[in-house]
Amino acid sequence: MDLNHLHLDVDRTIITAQPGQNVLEACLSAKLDLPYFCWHPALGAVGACRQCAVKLFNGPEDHTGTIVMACMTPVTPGMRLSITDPATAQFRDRVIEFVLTNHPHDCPVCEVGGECHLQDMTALVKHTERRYRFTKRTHLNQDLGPFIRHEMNRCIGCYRCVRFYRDYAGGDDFGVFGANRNIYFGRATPSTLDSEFAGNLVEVCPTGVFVDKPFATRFRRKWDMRATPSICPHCAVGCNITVQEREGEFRRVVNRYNAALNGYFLCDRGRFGVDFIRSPARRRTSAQRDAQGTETPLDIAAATAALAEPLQTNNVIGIGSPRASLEANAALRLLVGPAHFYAGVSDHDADIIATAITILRDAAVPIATPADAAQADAVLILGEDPSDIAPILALSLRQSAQRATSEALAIRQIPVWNDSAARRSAAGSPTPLIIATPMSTRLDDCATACLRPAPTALLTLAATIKAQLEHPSAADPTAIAAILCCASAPVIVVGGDSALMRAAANIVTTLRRIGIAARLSILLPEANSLGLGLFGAPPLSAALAAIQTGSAPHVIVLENDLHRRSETGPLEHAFSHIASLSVLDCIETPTTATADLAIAVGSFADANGTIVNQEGRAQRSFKAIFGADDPAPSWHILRNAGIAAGRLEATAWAGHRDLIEAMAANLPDLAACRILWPHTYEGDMQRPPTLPHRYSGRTAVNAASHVREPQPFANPDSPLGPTMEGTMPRTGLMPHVWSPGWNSVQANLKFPSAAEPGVMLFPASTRIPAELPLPHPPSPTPGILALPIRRVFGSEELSNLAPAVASRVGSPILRLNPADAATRGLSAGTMVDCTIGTTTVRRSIALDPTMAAGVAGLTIGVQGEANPPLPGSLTITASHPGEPS
Amino acid sequence: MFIISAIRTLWLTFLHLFHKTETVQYPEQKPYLAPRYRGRIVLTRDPDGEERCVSCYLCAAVCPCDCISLQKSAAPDQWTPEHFRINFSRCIFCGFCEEACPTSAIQLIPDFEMSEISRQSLVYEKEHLLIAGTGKVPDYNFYRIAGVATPGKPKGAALNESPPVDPRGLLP
Repeated sequence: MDLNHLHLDVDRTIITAQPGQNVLEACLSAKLDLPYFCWHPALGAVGACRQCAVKLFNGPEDHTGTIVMACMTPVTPGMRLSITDPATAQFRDRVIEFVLTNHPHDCPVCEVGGECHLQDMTALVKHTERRYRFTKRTHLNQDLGPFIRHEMNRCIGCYRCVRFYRDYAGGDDFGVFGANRNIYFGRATPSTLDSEFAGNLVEVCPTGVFVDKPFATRFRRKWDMRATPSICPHCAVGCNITVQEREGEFRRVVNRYNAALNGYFLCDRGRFGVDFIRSPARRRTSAQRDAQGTETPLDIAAATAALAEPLQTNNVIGIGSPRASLEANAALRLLVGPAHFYAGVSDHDADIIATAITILRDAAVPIATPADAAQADAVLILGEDPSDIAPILALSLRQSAQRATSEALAIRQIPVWNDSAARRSAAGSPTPLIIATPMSTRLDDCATACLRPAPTALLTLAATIKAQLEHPSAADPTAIAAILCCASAPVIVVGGDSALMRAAANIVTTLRRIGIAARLSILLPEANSLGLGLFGAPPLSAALAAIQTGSAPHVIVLENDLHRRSETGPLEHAFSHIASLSVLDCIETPTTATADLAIAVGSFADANGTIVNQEGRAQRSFKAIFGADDPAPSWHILRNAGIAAGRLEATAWAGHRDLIEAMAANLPDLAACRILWPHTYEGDMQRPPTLPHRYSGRTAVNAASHVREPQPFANPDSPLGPTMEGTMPRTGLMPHVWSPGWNSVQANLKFPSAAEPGVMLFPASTRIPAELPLPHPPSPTPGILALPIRRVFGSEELSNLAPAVASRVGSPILRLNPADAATRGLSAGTMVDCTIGTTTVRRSIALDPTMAAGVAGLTIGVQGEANPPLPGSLTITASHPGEPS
Repeated sequence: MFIISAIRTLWLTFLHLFHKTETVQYPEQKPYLAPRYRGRIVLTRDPDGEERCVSCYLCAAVCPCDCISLQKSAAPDQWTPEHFRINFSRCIFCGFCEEACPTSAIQLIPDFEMSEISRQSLVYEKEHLLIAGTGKVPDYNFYRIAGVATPGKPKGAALNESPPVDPRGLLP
C-alpha cells in the first residue's frame, strides 16, 4: 500500500487522494463531477460560493451526515462522503438557482458561451427552470483597455477576478465595490488595467464578464477552432500556449498548462502579442530589389531559385537569429558552413548568452524553473527587473514573496490551499525577497529589502555575499548572506551583465557547498537566445568584420532585423562591401527593406520548430495555422535553395526529423532535441487531432469558391494530425483539453498529467557545481552609464506588431536619479537627445528617486528605431523639437 | 414454398391494376405542405426589421452534415453575421438548426423546389437566405431580452431588468 495516498469513500467508491488536498481537489482529480465556482487550483479555496457542497458522514454508522463545503474540508484517511446524496444535490441546485437570478439572457451573444464554467456547472446540477419572477440587477460596463472587454451584468460574484488580480498578481487598480446583491468588480475609474497579467481574467472568470477583446473581433466558438500546442515566442521563459486558428486565420492564444513554467497563467505580451501574425507588417510575398530600388514580386519558386544563386558560391555569410527556431538556424549553418555562420546578436547579448551557457552546461549550476521560484523560501534578484523581461517568472517570484512559510502554516494548522487564512499568516512573516538592481523594479512592492547599487557596486555586493557565505564571521551589513543561509531552497535571479551572472552562479555554488539547495535563474533577452548560443557562433560584429574583408560577398540573414542589433554606421559600412543581401523574414523590417532579395517565410505558428528557453529547456511548437497560401518555413526554403544550388547535403534533410538528426550530429549540445519527437504517434490515424470533434461547417466553409470539398491538409512533419481523425492521448501532448461536461478551461483539472515538459538539454546533476572565474572589474564609465530598460509592452520586436499590444506601448523614457537630473538642469517630462556611441535617440525624462547615482535607464526596443549599444556611456543634450532625432 | 410465394406476389401485383391511382401530376398539381414542413432554410428578421441572426454558431454546431458556415462580424455590441452560407447540396433538411437557433432566426419553410443543374448554385449566401419578415415567430426580438447593451437599448432597458446599480452606494 502506498503510504503517500489516502483512500476516500465517495458514494461507496474508493478514490485515492494526496495528503494535504481538499476534498474538492481529490474528487476532481479522481474524475468525479462536483460543481464549484470560487475554487481555482492556483488561487486556492475560500469557500465563498457554497457550490461544492457534499455530505460528510462521521463513520460507518452515521446515516444522517453533515453538509460541508468540499473545498474547505481537508482529506482525512477513511473519510466517507456522498456527492449524490439528495439533500446535497438540492443544496447545490438552490445555490446555482440563486446565482442565476441575475444572470442575463446573453449566452448566444457571449464570447464565452460554449466554454463557460457557469454553463457547465448549470448543466451538471441539472438546473433548468427559472422560478425567480423579479427583475435582474444590471451594471454599467467599464472600458478596461485594448485587451479586455467588461460585461459586468454576467457576474456571479465568485471573487476569483479580484483574488487573481490583487492577491495573486499584485495589481492594485482593480477591486470590488458595492454591497450585497450590487457588488461590482472593476476599477475606480474606467481606464486600462495596469497589470500585465490582466488577460488571465478571461480564463479565471467562470463566466463571460471579462472577454478577450482582439479575439472578439474575429470571434469563433471554441469547438470551431483548430488548437495547436505551441511555445510563446515573446520571451525566454518559453511559456506553453495553445494557438487557435480557423480558416487559415489566427484567432487567439490560450494558456496551456505546464506545471514547471507558466502553470495556469500567461502574461499579456504572450496572450495578445501573437496577434502579430495578422499584422499588416507581416511580409507575405517575396521580392527582389534591383540597384534602383524597384521591387519585383517573386513567387516562392523564383525566390528559392534567387536564393540558390549566392549558395552556389562557397562564400556566403549566414547570420542567424534568436527569434528563429533551432531548425531554421541549423539549416542555415549547415548550408553556409560553421565558419561562415554568425549569431545575429549584439556583442553584449552574445556575452550574456555565452556566460549563461558556461553556467548551465560547463559549471552545471542548478537552474530554477518558475515553479521552483514560486516555492523558494528566499529570493535574491540581481541586476535586472524580471517583471519586464520574464513576466511569468516575476509572477512566480511574487508568489514566493506573498506565500506564508510552511512553518508558519504548520504552527497554525492551516492547509496551503486555504487561501484567505494562508495569506493572513503570511502577513506577519514575509518570505525574504531582496532586490538589488540599479533601477526600481515592479516587484519592489512585495520585496523585504530593495538595494539600488550601481553596476560596479552590484558586482562588489555579489562578491561580498559570497565571501560572507564562506566566512560567516565577516561583516554582513546587508544581512543578505544570513538570509540565504537560513533558507532551504533559495533562488537567485540574475541578468543584464555577464560578470554579475558569474558572481551569482558562484553564490549558488557556495550555497550548494554548505548544503543549501539554492538555484539560479538567468534572464535572457529573447525566446531562442540560448538555443542560438549553443551553435557557438560569433556575434554580429564578427560577421560585419568578416564582410569587410571582402572574402564572402554574399550575406543571408535569417529572421533578424540587424538594425536592432548593431549601430547603423558599421552596419551600412559593412553592407556597402557586399554583392548581395538576402533576408528571410516573416515580418517587414528595415533589414528586409534594404535587402536585394527579401523572402517571406512562415512565422513560428506556420512551422514546426524547437526553441530553447532560458533554463535550457528545449520545447517544440507545431504548425498551427493552415491556410491556402501559407508562407513556407525558413528551413524549407533554405533546403530547397540548397538543393537548387547543387548542395547535396541539403537533400539529406527532406523532413523535419532528418534536419533534427543532422543538427544533432553536428551539435552534440542539441542532441537531446531528438527525443522531443514523440515516436508513439507514427501513422496518421493515431496522431492526436488538432481539430475538435465538433468542428463545424466543413462542407460549407470553402463552398463560396467551390462547392467540392478540398482534400484535408497534410502535415507529415508533425506528431499532430491536421484533421479530426486520430486518438486523443490522456497525457502528454494534448491539443484539446476537454472532458464530457467540462467545456471550459477548467477541464484541465481532469488531466493532471497533461503537461508537456520539454527536454532539459542540461539535466540537473547532484554534484556541487564548479566555481567560475570572475573577469577583471570593468573600468569605470566616464559620465553617466546608460542601462537598458526593457518593457513588457514595446521592447519585444514581434509583439510590438500586434495592434492591441502596440496601443499599450508608452512613450520611451530616460530614467534618471533626481540629483543627476538636477545637476544637468533637467526635469521630468523634458525631451532630450541621448547619445551612446554613435547612436542618438530621443527620450523623455522620468525621475526615479531610488535609482543609483551616475546610472540612467534608457528604454530600448522602440519600434522603428536602432537600438543604442547598451550598456554604455551616455551623453545627454537638450532636444530641439521638430528636428529629427 | 417458393412457388407459392411467387404466385402470391404476382397476384398482388395484378390486383394493383384495379386500385385507385396515387400519382400526383406534379408540378401542375402541388401537394399540401404543412407550415411546419421542413424545406428550404431562410433567415428571418425581427419585428423591427433587423436581422435576427446573432451569429452564435449554434446552427453550424448542431448541423449533422456541417453544411452551415458563418462568421461573426467585428462589431462588438450587436452581433451579426459577416457571412452566412448554407451548402444546400449537403443539407438534409433535418431542422436541427431551427431547433438550435436561440433567436428564431433560422427557419425551415415548406418550399422544397430547389433543383439546380450545378451543385455550385445550391450554395446560398446570406443575401439569398434573408427574407423580409419574421417567419413563423412573429413577436420575438432577442435583443429586447438579452442583457447586452445595443444601439438604442442601454443597460437595464431590457425586459425584466432593473436600472443599472450605483456600485458606490451601500444601501440594500
